[in-house]
Amino acid sequence: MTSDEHEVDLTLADLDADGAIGDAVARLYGETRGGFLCKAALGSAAVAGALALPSRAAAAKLGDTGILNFDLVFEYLQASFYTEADRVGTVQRMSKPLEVWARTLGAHERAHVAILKKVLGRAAVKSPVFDFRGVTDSPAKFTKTAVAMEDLTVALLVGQAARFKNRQLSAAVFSLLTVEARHAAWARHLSGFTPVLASIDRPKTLSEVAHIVAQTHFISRRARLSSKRPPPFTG
Amino acid sequence: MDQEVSAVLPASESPVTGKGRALSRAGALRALAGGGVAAAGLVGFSSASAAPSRTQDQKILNYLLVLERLQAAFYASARRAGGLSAELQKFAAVVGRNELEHVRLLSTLLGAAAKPAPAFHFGSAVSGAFARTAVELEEAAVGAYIATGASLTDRVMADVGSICAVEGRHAAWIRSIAGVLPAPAAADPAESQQRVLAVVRRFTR
Repeated sequence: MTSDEHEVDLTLADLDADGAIGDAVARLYGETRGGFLCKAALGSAAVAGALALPSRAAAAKLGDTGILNFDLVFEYLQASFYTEADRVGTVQRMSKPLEVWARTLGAHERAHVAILKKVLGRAAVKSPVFDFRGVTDSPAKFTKTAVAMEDLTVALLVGQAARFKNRQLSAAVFSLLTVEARHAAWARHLSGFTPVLASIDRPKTLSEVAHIVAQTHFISRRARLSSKRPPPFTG
Repeated sequence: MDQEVSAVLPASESPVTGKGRALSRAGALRALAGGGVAAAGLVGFSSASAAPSRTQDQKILNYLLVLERLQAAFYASARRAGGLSAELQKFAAVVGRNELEHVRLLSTLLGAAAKPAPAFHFGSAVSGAFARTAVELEEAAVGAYIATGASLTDRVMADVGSICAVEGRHAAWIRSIAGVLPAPAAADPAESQQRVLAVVRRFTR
């Protein structure tokens, strides 16, 4: 039953209903290109060209607050993802071990949101509204997507740990990245995948992570900075 | 932001459990502060507030190298001793390979400054007590990386972060096999050098 499959396709498609991830991308790519991306037709050559990775200088200009806010958006995504799967009853339909896994991870990701919001204070970006488009309705889809998200979060945090000017933030990220790595390994073990991808967890830069998310066509419509709808769930 | 930052320093005790209690700033400080890296008892190391240096890198890397050598030797010894279930055999094979690679990577970072391996003796730890001992070793490694990682110079910190994440995977994997909660806390605590070296010494006598 155990598979040696290492890679799980990321299925974050269409999750970014109000463009929160789009906003994060815009901060990386610059407002002009970010705005263009949101307006351009998906699949066009122009969009493909615009999704070329931004310069390292642009990504480097983010600073500690910008990096933490990018991490916060990811934690909002994860927290909302687990919370929604629980809310709609998908978690209860899973086996007991998977139920424990999903509930524990939900609690942890909500705690991570709280931690990062506390650290960022007024600089924290607001919780986005996500549309998980049925992924959280299916135990199989939910679990597969969760595995992919956890692996991606590890790569994100590994890539960021050494980028902070403030080394206390680096220390905090170390203590969070090992937890995300536990999450990833745990999910993989329960799903029948090998828990370890390789001897080292390769880092991904913010622009690489944004690129991966962009490739799933999450930009479904023009980004809005705020939503008039009350958020159905904020993780 | 600095005051809030101290709230998320890895602590040697009482990590945030993520169990849904309201996280006031005072609560966060109580839950996480524990003096942070300084209270992790980094005897012989500068605290994270001291400037990183090549000399400090070498001390930290040699400390982490001992832990990787210990783990690599433990898994190799367990595989030689035999008697493990198929699941634990697979775990020991995969993780043992990882630890050998970690030894190689840390040794490369250290170059001539790498300290040689001590002699390890495992006794029944590699058979009847395998799973329990593996949990202990992986958790010691995770705690050691968290206690020291942020004190490294930037480039070395980035490399060590990649290794540290895999130790987290190892810990969760063996805990999952052993029927113990794989991710016990929302934020993993730092472990003191004193406690980690006490674990090491059990296998070097």
